[in-house]
Amino acid sequence: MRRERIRETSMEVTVGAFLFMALLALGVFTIILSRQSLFRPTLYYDVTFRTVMGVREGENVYLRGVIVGKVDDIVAERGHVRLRLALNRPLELHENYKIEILASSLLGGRYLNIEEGDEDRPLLSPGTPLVGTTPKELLDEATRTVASVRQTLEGGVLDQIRSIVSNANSIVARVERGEGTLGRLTREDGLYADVSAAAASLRKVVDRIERGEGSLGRLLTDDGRVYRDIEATAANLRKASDDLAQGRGLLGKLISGEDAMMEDLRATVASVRAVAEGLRRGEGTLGRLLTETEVYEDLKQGLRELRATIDDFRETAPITTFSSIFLGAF
Amino acid sequence: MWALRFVLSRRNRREVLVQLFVTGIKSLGVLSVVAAFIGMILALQTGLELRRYGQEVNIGTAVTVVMVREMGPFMTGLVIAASVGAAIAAQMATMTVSEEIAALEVMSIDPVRFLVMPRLAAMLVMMPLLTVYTNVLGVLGGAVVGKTQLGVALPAYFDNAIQFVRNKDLYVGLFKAMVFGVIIVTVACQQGFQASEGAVGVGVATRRTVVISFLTILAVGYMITRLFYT
Repeated sequence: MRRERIRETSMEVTVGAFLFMALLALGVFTIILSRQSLFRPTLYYDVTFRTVMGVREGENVYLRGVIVGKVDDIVAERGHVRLRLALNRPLELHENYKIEILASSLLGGRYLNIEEGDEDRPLLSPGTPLVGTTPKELLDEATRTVASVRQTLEGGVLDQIRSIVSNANSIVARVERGEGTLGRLTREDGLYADVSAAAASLRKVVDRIERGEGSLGRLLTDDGRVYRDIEATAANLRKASDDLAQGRGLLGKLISGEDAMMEDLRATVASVRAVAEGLRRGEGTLGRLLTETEVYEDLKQGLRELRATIDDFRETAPITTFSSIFLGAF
Repeated sequence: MWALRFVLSRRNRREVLVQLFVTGIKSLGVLSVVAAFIGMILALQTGLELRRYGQEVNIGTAVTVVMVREMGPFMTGLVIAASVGAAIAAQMATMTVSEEIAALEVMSIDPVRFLVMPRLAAMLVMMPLLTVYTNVLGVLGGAVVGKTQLGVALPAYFDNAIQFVRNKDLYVGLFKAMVFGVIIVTVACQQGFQASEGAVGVGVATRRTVVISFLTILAVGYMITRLFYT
């Protein structure tokens, strides 16, 4: 009897434990699948759409990619459909918010995506009716895109592509035949050797420049002295250029076209030209000296005589001086 | 009310407890193996196909939806029909051919109330809970295959598992299981009470119970699915 009682108790405990565990699992399943938190209040928002494209109750609601709730109720009303969203957190929507229905995959399934809007835009006042964006059907969009692409292609783009392909084929054929530089490059080893040699030379030049050899190399590798020289030269040139531009100095005045200076210069040039022409015509002493040989000879003779006179005077000067001093005593 | 009073009466409570134990606890072994392997097979078959498209992460959804909606109640029904249903039929048939049922009637004891009701009550309680157990084990079996064979991380598997399953799916499945329980007990007791010709009749009743229960479960399962999902 006691054994029977123990057996019965054991049976009761086992069955009770199983019932408890199974009911607990059922409860947990129910809570998980209802997507509602027991410890956080559920907030309800109404959003109206013109059409909801087959959204069902229980579809997920995402906020910035995070599931924040589900579609709790769908009511078709006059002119629109109202969706009641059950969310586990409050929404702070700005004026340019966006609530749209998107396809989960090509095979079906939908979800609601909420974008709160830019933070620099004003917040919606409480009680503002929320309006959702009309959803886009993924397959319809794809079909329209394909049709658009086909229309574009058939509108001449396809012919252009064919033409481009034809030209490319022609170019490739020429290259294969060894025509043109590219063709010769593919056919002739000599050209390749030339290109290689040129590349090697170029590499040598570049190496020398990198080592700081030559003017260009020094220019690139110098510690700045050449640069400073060039900079100073450039500054001097700029100053000279500024002076010329501002009419400073003789050249500047000439370039700037200062009237008085030009007039003086013109008069001087005219005078010089007149003197030169007079000389060429043999006018005046200097002209005659240039054009007449006799004058030159007379002048030469006169100079000789003058020199002889001076020599005579130099020779008689002591006697004359002595005589003057001696006779002066009397 | 009558049924509740029946279950709560002291004498019947003990009989119901025994039937709960026989129907539920003693079926857990075979049910565990069946549920786990069903989940693993589903995950492997679905995962191998989805892997061709790089979508093996979605096996959680496939396994859970299939288990909760159909395979959980269906496999539970088949296992219980083959084990408990067959046992009930054999017991009833034996009692019938040995005229124990007739003796009960002579003693003014209603055999339906005395024999069928505890089994029906136990089945109504246990079938949904066994289905929950099958669902859990099936989903876990799928997770093991997903992790070890297909390289699907457990968090991803379980995230996907609850993605497309609704409470409606769960409770329609439990309702199916309850209906399957009623079918199993009804068919088993009916076949047992109609048994004749001694031991051969017991065998026939058992075999026919299993066959009829299987076919009825399939047909009724389809009808319930159609009722709730179309």
